[in-house]
Amino acid sequence: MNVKFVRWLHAELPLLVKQGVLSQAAADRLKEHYGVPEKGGRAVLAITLLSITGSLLIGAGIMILIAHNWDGMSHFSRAMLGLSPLAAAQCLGGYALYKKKASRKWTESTAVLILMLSGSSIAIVGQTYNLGGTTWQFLVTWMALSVPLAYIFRSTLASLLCLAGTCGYFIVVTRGYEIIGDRWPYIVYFALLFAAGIPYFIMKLRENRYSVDAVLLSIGYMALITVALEGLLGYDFLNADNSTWVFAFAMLFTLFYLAGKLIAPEAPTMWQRPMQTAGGFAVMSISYLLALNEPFHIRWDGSLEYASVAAFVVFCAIAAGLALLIYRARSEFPSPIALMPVLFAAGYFLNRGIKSDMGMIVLFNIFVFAAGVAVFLMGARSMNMQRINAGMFLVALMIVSHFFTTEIGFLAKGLVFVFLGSAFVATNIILIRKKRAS
Amino acid sequence: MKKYPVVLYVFIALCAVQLAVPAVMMARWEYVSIRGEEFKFEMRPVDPADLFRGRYVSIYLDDFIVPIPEGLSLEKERYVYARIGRDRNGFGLITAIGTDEPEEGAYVKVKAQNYYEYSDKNPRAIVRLPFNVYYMNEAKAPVAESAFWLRNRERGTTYITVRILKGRGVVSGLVINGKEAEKITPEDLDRNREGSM
Repeated sequence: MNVKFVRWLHAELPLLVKQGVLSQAAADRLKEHYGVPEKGGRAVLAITLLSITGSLLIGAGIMILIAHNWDGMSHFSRAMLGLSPLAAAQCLGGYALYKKKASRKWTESTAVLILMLSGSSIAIVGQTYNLGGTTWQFLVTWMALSVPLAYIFRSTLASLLCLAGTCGYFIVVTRGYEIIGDRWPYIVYFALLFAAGIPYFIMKLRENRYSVDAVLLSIGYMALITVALEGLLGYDFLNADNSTWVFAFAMLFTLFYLAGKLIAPEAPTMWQRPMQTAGGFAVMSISYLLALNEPFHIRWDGSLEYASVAAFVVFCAIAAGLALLIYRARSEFPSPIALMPVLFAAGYFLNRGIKSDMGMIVLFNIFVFAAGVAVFLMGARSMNMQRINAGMFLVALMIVSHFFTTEIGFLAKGLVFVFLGSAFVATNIILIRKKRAS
Repeated sequence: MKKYPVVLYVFIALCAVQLAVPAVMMARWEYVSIRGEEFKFEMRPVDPADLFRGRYVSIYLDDFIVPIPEGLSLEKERYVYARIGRDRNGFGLITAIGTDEPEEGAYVKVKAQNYYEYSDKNPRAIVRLPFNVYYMNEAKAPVAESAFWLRNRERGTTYITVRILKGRGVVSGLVINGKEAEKITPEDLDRNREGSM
């Protein structure tokens, strides 16, 4: 529930009772239904944010102090200098767990401080003993020592920092800077770090799937999975071609969309359903670019890769499973956006059959146009202005884009732009009037 | 007896591990830097700034070209053990490589790969020693670097010292133009410009 609304309602209710609009009993029932807004909510949030920022700054400051390299000290003193801030932060963490467990600002900030300083303590040993080491080893060790902090302190920020560290590790490994020999064992480290954070994410979703924590973790996991897929497809691992890249990302973003539909179906705002928002937006963006045949230049004349076929089969199984779960929960199937990868596969084989790019282009033009019309109609049925405008925007975008890619005179282009603009304005005016009348 | 929450015990265990990891690293390398045999390797430094790990001098050592023992394939770069010996000037060099860890003598784990030259009759490998950084105080690192670039060096006067024990090596010092890098001062640079250091 929107906290601002609840606070406003609580301020209004006494006035409404005084003016005789509501009885005291009705006001009490409303209060009971919407709950009491958290007292000093903003102040608490501000203090929590300040504490976390303070911890991050202190942690970073200590790292920079260590980076100065105090050469007047012996190896042992330098190492102790590096370890003592960690030990102090751990004591603070113990105090927070024992005495201040209910205080978010204490738990989050001490978890972050310990996380930062455990990294600096490893770094200082490397510096003191001139160990060149490798970034991936450093990151894996650091993250493995930090993941438990998220669970012990119930710290979302620690979990997010671990996701960032895991992301950094995978970028280093997949770029192949510091590793030699077989690369697949490095994927196992990644998988372990990835899996280690998942129970915390599930825990947060179970607590409140629309909370800031759940939203931030969803965004973090989406980013991590996207980076991981990019790394896997890259030169150093699978060295995939253009079509495989587009196909793989289309499948991934579709799964994000479906997972979002299942996890957060009734989120009141767009930001509280990040998987649906980002997944849907990405799927439609790829579809739009495929409709214009830019910038991917899909190759369809090469030999068929069996790994792609296998990935598609797995995708279909997961997507169908998610769609069924969504149907069971809400008695409705997800939007046809989820069919985009199937359409891609169809377009690919159509291109191979007719030996031309046109198959895919025509299919995706129809798809994006139909999606625009469908969104518009759904919006019109529920009088949802956001959906109506999104649908009209999609249709207009397709028309305008084709005007730029084809040779049409300025006069015709100008007239069509004026027509589309007028259609937008007129539709909005009509709908607003209808809404007011109803 | 007062009962503490379980999470506190888990946290204490985590704290112990978090402190133990750097402590074990320290102990292991301290042992090498005290007990290890010292070798010198000629080098050329540059000076990048890395805020996270402090100011350090990047160490570039010459690659070693060594014969590949029979039965060892180095088509792809891989780790092998390199035995360390000394040349007639007292500088360290790689005398042999192999997949089995030597039971005695000085050796380190290195990266090696096939080395091709038209004149080669026997297979040879290019081997890189794993010593690539030397950390210095942030004020002294640029001075040391300037000292390196200022003057044409005599061969054998700029090198790193490394202590090696049981496959591990610790860079113990950096010598530039015959002087320890930490002891080079801006006045040394001025004297150098005048022709002596």
